Amino acid sequence: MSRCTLRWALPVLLLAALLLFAGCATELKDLRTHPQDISKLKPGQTVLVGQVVLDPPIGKNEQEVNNSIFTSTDYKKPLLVFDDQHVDYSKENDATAHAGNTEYVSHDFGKTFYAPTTNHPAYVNGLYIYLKMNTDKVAYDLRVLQTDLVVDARPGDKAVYIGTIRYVRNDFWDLKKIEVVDDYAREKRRFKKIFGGGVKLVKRLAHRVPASAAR
Amino acid sequence: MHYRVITQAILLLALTVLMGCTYVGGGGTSVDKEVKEVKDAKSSFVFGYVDMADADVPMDWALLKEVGHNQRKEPDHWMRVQDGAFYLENVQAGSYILSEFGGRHWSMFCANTLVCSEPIEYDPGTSMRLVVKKPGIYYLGAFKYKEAKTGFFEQDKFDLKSIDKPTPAEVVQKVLPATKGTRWHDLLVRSSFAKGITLKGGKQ
Repeated sequence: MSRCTLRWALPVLLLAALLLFAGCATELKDLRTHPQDISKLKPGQTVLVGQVVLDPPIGKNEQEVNNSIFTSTDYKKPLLVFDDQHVDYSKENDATAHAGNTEYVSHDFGKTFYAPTTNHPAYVNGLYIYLKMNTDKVAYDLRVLQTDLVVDARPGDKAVYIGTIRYVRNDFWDLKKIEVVDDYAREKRRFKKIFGGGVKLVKRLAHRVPASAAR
Repeated sequence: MHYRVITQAILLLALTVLMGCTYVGGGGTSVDKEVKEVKDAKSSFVFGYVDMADADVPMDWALLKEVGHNQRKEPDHWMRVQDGAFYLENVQAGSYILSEFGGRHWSMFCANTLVCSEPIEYDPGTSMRLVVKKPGIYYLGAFKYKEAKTGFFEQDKFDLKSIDKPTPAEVVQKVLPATKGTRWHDLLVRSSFAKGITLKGGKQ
């Protein structure tokens, strides 16, 4: 719970939120729009394939986001954050002191993403959802769903299917459940249709971060 | 000579106030204390209390916000405030949080002036919440504001501790005068939260 005077706190908070994604983290471009790029992957890059589902979905009046002209990220979409280590966003010091290889994909719920990562393994630390962002009035309202999953992607993998990550929440954004649904057969067909048969889609479903790697 | 000095001092004070005094915008909206009549059979009454004795400002406003998947287009409802009690009539079914409360205080050397009135907002997150299902009287609880320890460069923080005093009946007593002449008055008195209160004339 925080106390603030309007003059300083909101601009500072918004700046911090924008910096996190505009400056310190890398947005992973979706290869669906550039399928030919799958043959141009750099050594050590792996395309993560999966979906994010929210249950119940965001209501029609629940989100009010005006994107900033200063960033290319679409903040109306959820941001799924990958990293090279486990980060617990509920621990404030953990989140602010963290300086890993943070990557994120901004993608519609219920649609498949094809995101080339350099993290091996790739920790799925959180889902960022902006309910409100207004750069004119300098205000934002962000929900962070701590995820605590990891994908055992290996440097030699070209494409890895991580599953459909389903978040179950209540009206107050308490997380009731996170589950990983295996839609591999469907996604394998789609993958072949978009990228051809030259690259194999390996199934390595996201799973809970083991206690030895948890912070 | 004596009067001249006093007159000059008063003039100087008036000038200081007029030229060096600013009202900083923002903050919440204070609304009338008087409750309106029951709107329809689906309406509910929501109330609660925060002891602000340890806060920088008394409570001047409180915002009840509808949240969740079925949130309506206009989710913000400014509550009525009286002596730490906050209340609102004709609340429709839905999920709600007390998303903000606050007040104003006078501060020196702010907003490029000598003195100014600036708002202080308190954001309790989603800790004060309720789900209104059936029409009725809903009590959010009584809480005590406490400053929390923070580091030098950290934002000020606070805790809301649930308290037994005032009791729900004592909070009802604070709210009742504002409901006079409406059916909410009877509904509040007959509610389980009013148990033990004594009305003027000895009626319960």
